[in-house]
Amino acid sequence: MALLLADARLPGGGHAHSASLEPALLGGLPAADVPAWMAGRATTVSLVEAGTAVVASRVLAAGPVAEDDGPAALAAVERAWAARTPSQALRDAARLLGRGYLRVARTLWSGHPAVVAVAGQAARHGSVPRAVVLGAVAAASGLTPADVVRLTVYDDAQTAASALLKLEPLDPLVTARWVLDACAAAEPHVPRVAACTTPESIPASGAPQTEGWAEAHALRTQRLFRA
Amino acid sequence: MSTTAPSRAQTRATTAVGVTRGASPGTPVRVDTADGLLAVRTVSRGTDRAEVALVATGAVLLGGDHVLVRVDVADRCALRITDVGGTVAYDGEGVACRWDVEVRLGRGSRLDWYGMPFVVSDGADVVRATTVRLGAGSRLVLRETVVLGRDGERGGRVALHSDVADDGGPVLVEEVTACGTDRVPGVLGAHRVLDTLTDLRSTDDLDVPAESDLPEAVPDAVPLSDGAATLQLDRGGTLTRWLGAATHLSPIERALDRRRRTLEER
Repeated sequence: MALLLADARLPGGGHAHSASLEPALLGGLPAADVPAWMAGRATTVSLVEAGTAVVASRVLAAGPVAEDDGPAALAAVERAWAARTPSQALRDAARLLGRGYLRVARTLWSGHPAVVAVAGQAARHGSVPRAVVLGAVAAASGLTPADVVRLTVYDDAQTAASALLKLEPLDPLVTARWVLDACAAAEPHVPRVAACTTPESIPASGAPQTEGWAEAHALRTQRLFRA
Repeated sequence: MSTTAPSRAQTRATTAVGVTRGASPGTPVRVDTADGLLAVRTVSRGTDRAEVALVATGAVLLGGDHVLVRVDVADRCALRITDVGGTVAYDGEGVACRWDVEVRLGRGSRLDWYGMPFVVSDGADVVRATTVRLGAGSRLVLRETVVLGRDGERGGRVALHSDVADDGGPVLVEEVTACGTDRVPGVLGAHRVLDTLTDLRSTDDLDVPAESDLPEAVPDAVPLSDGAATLQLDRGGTLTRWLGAATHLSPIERALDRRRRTLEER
């Protein structure tokens, strides 16, 4: 299950995104700093996404019991995520990715209450961020919270690595090493993030330089990736 | 260098400022204060507003220090806080220190706080946490400048927590962790200075007292081309941010200076 979701060939729309790498390179990040930048993401903004997915999954798994509170509880998770994502460019990108992921989820787990609940939320609000959809997929497919965290971190790192190969020609095995290093950097945080149960407990670890680059990138006309 | 001030036992003292309307119409606001590691000096009072200055009473911050500043602005009052000097977090020689700010803004109130630079010396390990509860129709304008290291230093470790909420839920929740000896690209990168001007309003139609000498349109005054980014929060409000090498180079500093000069010329 995690393998399918982590595969870039799954048509979720991720290919149009660089996980903030293109904005970073255009903003002046030296290519030599990419591995440190990837490890930095894996221990900051990736954990915000991961924690959001974990809590969304728990809220959705509790579904039928709290049917009346369901939409409100899910909306609270999204509010917590939005308050932890100060860059509008990054929120927009995540919501766009959420649409692609939701299409995948509705096709592969059509009728599952968690997916139906998130589709309802998307219909009410126009869109939901990728992390919330990932939570629905986790609830529908029975992914463990720790797997949700690792999947989110890996997906983010691999998205950046794939984008790098299009932006700076490089041996793909070199970037594969960096992906593994980024995942290893996040590993000590996995238990803490997997244990998140409430919106308040979602990590809030920010990356101001990445956020600044994202805003500048959103105004550019010449770019390969959306974000 | 270990020429830090002598270490002292865990010190925690609360500095408090509270502003409430006067007992009868037309009388000045009441300003209640309590001094801790910072002392409060009342600069001016009007019928709906006050200005106070925060003054350090000794060497802060040393290892083990815990500064707590509580600010309470009652309904339809405005408070302006100025720091008299910057703050240096000294080498704690293994002992961490903390700087907590807790703000409660009443309905239709306003707080303007232009902090001076907060310098994190080599060997310092600081948590700086700002918690704000916005009442309906209130507004917060907060400038926070954090500098890694004094001149010639790389700087210690700092964790900046911000937690702003109103009746509708969280507005901004953020934790930025930086360490002068372990610079992370994407967080602060190679930059020493993180300069942030926060401008948040609770979403409500209540009138907020105006502070005429404030840069109302800071995002316009600090264009992206100057290197600052303006982040539009999901619930409304902005963070204007600049990362750089020295505080005097900050476009936020220049925009605030321009504004001050314009007002003086009037």
